[in-house]
Amino acid sequence: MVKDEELAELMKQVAADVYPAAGVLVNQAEQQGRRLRRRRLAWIAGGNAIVVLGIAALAAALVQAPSGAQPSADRGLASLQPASGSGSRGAGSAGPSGTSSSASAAGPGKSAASGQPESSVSASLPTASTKPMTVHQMLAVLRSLLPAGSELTDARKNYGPGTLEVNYNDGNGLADIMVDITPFTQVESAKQLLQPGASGSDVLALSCPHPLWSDEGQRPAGALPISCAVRTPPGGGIERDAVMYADGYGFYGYGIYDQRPDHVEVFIQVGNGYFDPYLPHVDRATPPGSMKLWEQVVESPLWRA
Amino acid sequence: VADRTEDGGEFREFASARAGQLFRIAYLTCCDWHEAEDLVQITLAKLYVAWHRVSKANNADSYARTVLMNTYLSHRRLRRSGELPVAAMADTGAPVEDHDMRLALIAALRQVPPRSRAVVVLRHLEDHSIESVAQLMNISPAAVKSLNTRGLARLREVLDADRTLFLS
Repeated sequence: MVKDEELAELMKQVAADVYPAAGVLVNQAEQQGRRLRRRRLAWIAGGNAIVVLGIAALAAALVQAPSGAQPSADRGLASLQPASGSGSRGAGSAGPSGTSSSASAAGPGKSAASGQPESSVSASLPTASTKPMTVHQMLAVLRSLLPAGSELTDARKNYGPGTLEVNYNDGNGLADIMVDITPFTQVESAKQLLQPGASGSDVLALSCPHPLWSDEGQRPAGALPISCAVRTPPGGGIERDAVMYADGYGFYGYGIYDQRPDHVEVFIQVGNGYFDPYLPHVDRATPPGSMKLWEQVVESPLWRA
Repeated sequence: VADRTEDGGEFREFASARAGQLFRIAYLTCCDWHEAEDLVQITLAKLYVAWHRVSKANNADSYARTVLMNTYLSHRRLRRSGELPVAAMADTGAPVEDHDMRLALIAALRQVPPRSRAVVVLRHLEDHSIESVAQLMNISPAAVKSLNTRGLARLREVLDADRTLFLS
């Protein structure tokens, strides 16, 4: 068996022979840095406008609020529900920068381009998010979205906010579920950013590979076939629904990415086994649930970064 | 203006000195030459934006590695859509003395899950401690241990088959 020291030595030996074009990288990084700095300043300016409008809306709401206001806990819960009032719609369209980046980030063929009205979900979600969900919040949301009687155990708390990994038992064996929530601004393409006039389009559209993936290991008998489809969900944005290739252990599952109009990407992976404790343990031919179920889970407005 | 020029000079000096090592970390972590270039470029660009604050805090090296890993872990999820089977990937890296050895390592690393791979590279290429990796990746030491063990187990399994290539 290869020893740890041998692995370290191998990595160092290989890395020592790697010579990138450092000068070019630094030049391009500097150019890109200048662009990012300009964009950040523009974003701050737009954000300030939204904050001012938000304060004005809040002040107006307080003036008009009925005497029996909700307790704070209820207000917190209510903030997770899709809103339908004109206040949130107004806030979503208030900032010119937010509106334009929302349209461009939504990807090709979105409502802004086709002239279709925004859906209730996209209208109700804010254009920017600052606070990641805690593991506890994510676990509560996932639990609320699964069929009654579902069992979630062993939630790992070591990934930090925005990522949940948990074992799911639907009665047919344990399955590892991972949910990840990422604001779009964390996903950037250097090449796109460097293109002149590319401001606001720094989100890569989801697509399926051609040809599709191939298995790295043995796919279990009776497994779902590899598949991939990209579509626009009812709430807008762009979603990629896939049944992934099997890794060396025969571990595979549903993998769904939803890039939502509120600039938040929700990703879920539902496996055909669990980790025991570090390696995949395949205990079923197919992952639990159906593609339809996991699509609904991913598209829920309850996920808020 | 004078301050900015000075900042730019300092940044350039730092970036030029560190770009090579950042690239090596990126390359072994993402296992793709072009993606590694993207990652290092984005990392340095973000460092440029934050340079005034980062350089004053005297933690530019740690900051760069943290940004690199965060960018890699978020970047790759979208890159998955373009992932190709290992055999179909063109090797665009610079020539090395033992080409087979590098290919074997890169092919093996590709089979390690991304987070585990990031931990393994920081731990064993750069010799960071468990605590240091935890800090750089903003995860707990327990998570680092878990990901490291998981990653090494996978790496060993794959490399054992190719042992004669590089450990003769």
